[in-house]
Amino acid sequence: MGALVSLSLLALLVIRYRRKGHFSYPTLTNTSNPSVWEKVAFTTLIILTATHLVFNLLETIWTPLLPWDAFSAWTHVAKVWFYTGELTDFVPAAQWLAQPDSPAYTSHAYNYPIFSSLMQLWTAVGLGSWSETLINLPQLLCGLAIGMALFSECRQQGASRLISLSVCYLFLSIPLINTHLSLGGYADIWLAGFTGLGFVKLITGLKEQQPIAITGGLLLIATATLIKNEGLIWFLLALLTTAIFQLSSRQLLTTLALTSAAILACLLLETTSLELGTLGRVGYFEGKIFAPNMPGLTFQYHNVWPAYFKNFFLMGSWNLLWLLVFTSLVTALIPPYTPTKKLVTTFVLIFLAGQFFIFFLTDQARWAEKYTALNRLPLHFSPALIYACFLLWHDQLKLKTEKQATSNELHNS
Amino acid sequence: MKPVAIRVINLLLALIIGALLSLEVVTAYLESSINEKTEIKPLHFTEDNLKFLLNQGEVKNNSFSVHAFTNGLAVISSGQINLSAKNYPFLKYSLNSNSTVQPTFFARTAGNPNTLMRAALPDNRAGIIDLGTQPQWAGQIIEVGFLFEGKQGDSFELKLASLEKASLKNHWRLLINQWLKFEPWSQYSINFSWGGAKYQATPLPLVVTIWIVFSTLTFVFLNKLSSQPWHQNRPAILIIFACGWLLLDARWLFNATTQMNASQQTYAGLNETQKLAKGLDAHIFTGMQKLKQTVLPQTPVKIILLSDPETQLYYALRARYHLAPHNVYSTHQLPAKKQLHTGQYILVIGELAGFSYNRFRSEITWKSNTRIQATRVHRGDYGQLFLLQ
Repeated sequence: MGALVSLSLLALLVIRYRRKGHFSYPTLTNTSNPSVWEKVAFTTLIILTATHLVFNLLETIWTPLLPWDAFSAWTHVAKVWFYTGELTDFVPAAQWLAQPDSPAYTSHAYNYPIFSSLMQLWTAVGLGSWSETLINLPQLLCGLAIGMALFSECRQQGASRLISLSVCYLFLSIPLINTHLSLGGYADIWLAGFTGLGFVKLITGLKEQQPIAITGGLLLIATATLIKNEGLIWFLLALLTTAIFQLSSRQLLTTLALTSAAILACLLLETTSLELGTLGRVGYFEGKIFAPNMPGLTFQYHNVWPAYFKNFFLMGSWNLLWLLVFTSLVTALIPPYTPTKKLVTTFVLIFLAGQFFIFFLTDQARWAEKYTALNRLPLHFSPALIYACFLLWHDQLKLKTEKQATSNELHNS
Repeated sequence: MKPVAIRVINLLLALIIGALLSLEVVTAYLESSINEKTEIKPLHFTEDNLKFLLNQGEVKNNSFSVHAFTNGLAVISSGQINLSAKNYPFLKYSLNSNSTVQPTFFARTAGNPNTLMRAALPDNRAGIIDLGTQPQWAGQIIEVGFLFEGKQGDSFELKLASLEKASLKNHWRLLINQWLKFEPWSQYSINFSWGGAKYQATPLPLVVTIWIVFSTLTFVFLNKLSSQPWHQNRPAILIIFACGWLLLDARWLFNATTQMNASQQTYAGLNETQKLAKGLDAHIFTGMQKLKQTVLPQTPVKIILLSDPETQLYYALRARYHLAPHNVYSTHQLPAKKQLHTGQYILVIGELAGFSYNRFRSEITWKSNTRIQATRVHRGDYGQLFLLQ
């Protein structure tokens, strides 16, 4: 329902802005004829990207449901719904035991958002039978859609077909993305779609000051809250990014002062948390941080640098994505400071701060030490991280081309 | 010469020089781990120094063919020997088998003669193992050999097996094996990938990063030498980065192709039931199918599923999944008596400490202090199913 509301709002926004003339399909600025080398490189990349997708498709079709959380949580729910023919309730174990006559089911995942399970249910309903393999086909299509969206965004930024396809290939060739497209049942690839592409649109909107893109991006990220509980934290990070770029220094300082005052008042009044009915506790209570539908997180420093270094730079999950991100970040710190550099730096730093908060400052560190969420949470941002790196390099190469053109003109005159 | 041509030549040179420099760095690192420079000849396993303990195969041209098993096991052993572990840190071999069970190399040391050191032979082809990384491979070795687990119809062929000294060639061979080691789908795949072997002397992404850094520095230097403008470096740096990415992607695609072949051989052409019956939890799937088809009612019933959290959790959760749409609560403790009701089922997966059933009294006993009337309605490889009275 929430997803429908978000998407309806998005559609309404587009209609409204088109009527007012604020929205038009962008014109492609780079339509020059590619050279032979570019054509060869383009064809090679198409073949490589297709190879990855074919591998993912065959694995989806052949391999029955494998990953742990799929059969123990997400897909189990979908299977129950399919066979019972209704969206049966899932309740905590204590409630299940206390109500022997209730038709409700129980699972440790009773408070997980239902989007991912609904997608599998929808596929099974469409197929007319439960399939251990084909229920995961939409996830593959989700990956393909993210790749195509990245291609489209890059083209709209004036990149050539080759560069745009390279960005799409970078995303679809990340080993962990391939795994999530081949072994379905987890919600992370959907989150990569909504959060990742939401941030892509938000970055574009903030860069070009397009309210439609900013709102669209925020709505996409807001929808992510309906896919996994982490979506809420990503939405807060998106709001923070937007505030930094949309508010003036004075407004930002005022917001900061008001927030600090509110926190201080809460501390003085000893009211640092609230009970929000079915959403549970929110705030800081007895040494733990609470967010809706999430267990309390104990606030404590954990040194998980070694796990991060190993997973990001020494193991095979990410290819060279983090080398690209960190070199791009370093490049962005070299003057002159363009608006794109500031935007990309802010986005990457906010993303890193989010990871730092979750894994270094709370007991979620155990999932970093076990190499699980440490990789799966950054996966949600991977489309936006690749896009941010693209923007940075594209901007610099564009500046260089413009400088060269100006110098040529001066030379000719 | 055109500036573009100069840049292309510089780029190619930079990539080659960068590759040579990074190979040199890796070689220097591998050499640093070789302590002994003395001349030690490899110990080749032949029919003269390795024998079948029972008549379980034959030796032809130093190739050991195993095709019979005693209690599911075949053994070839060196008998009593005496060699220094530190002189032979590598085991080289060539293996060809039709079994999915990996044979193991074993050794016995003078310091701990009653314990067998074991190392699985992971490749169904030519392979090399770094025994030096195993803590038990130390001191004087008094026996070595190979264990083959199998059943009727399984066969193994082991040839060219030898214990080798630490040499640069062996280290490089091992490293390449580690980089290209096949990583099949497993429960950790959805979270991370090792990118080859779990332990790699120098991980491939690190070597590729070193290559990119050296190539970039070399290109910048060459461009400066040929007086090319600084800003022309950026596209070349991206191309160097792309080369690194493509190299790692080639490794991933190599792994993916092997995985695809394995998946095709295991699952292609099978229907849903046949596919599930091939899984790690095949006995659970078969058992749950039987319960659903012949024991449990067609409409969903409430089942309390009990299992040992340490050893049976995977099977318990698979059982719950296969039983859907039956309404299953998976736990490790029997709920309080007042929370149990007539008509509910109790499913026990595997062995569970503290749980027992007296069929004469139709009574479940849980941790000696809780007794519940129940009828055992089915028993199988998966465990037992009870109906509460």
